[in-house]
Amino acid sequence: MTLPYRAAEQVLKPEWIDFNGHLNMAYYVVLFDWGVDEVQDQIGLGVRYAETSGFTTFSAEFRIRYVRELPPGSRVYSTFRLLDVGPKAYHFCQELRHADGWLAATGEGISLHIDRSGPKVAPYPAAVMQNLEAMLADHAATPVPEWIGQPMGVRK
Amino acid sequence: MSAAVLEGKYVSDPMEVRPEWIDHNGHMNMAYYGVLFDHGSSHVYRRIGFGSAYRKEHRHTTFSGDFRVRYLRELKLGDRVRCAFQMLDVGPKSFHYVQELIHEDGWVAATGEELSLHIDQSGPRVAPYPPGIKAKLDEIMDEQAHLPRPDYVGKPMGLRK
Repeated sequence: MTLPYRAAEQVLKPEWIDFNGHLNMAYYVVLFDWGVDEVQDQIGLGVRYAETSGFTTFSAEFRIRYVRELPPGSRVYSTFRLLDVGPKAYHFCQELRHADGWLAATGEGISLHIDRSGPKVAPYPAAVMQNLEAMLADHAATPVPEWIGQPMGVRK
Repeated sequence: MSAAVLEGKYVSDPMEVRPEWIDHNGHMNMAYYGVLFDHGSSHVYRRIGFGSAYRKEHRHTTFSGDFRVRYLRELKLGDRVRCAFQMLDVGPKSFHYVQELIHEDGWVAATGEELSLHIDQSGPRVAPYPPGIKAKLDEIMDEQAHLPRPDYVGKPMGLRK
């Protein structure tokens, strides 16, 4: 099972590899964030919007579950599904997959719409809200992954 | 790094926001909070007995199993933060903890929650801690057991409507 939107392939940068000889935990977010950039371009919240409108998006929260290590030089892509849309924020999940298809990590986040004059949280413009709602309706055909909402904890 | 303690939590030396971490919003990009949390926990991992020497000698290491960041306030170029560490729970093969990035002016820029796994690299697979490491983890847990568990731990993510 995969998520409805597939982002472009990326290659791990050598400086992201740590002493374990794999992608360091911190840089998974860079790859997930590039996937979100692509989606935001499509719904009218891309870099151009951020640079011209006085509004932008901030991340409120992000969670990664590390499933399998990624060796140096790996080619990867992220996938994306909207989970929920509000007037000023959206909730989403992602997968990070190796180019061969296997799952390396999952991501879950909340994105806020921000009026930069604050900065403060602000309602989406009508056109963006329409795009988000259309995407949510489209993504609703894919089941919500079972790992959403599970608390973190130690197995004893 | 120092072994400073702030309100019962272990804190790292100060770390500074670098120019290459600033994005088109003119603040530190969300991805690099993880870098500060990771660097800011290394003094605790060393105190437990982990690091590259442990990996080479024992062919075991630690992997992150789960990591969650709550972004509370923007960080700008040149801002200096310290990272605070609080142990929540210790198991035979993993430990659970929270962190805070504290700006030098005293406000919290972000919280982190992590599950750290002990890994046998011949798998790689999750493996029990050796007794010396387990004793150190239990000692840290005992030292920090009096600290209140933050209310955000275990809450599912969702939108306020």
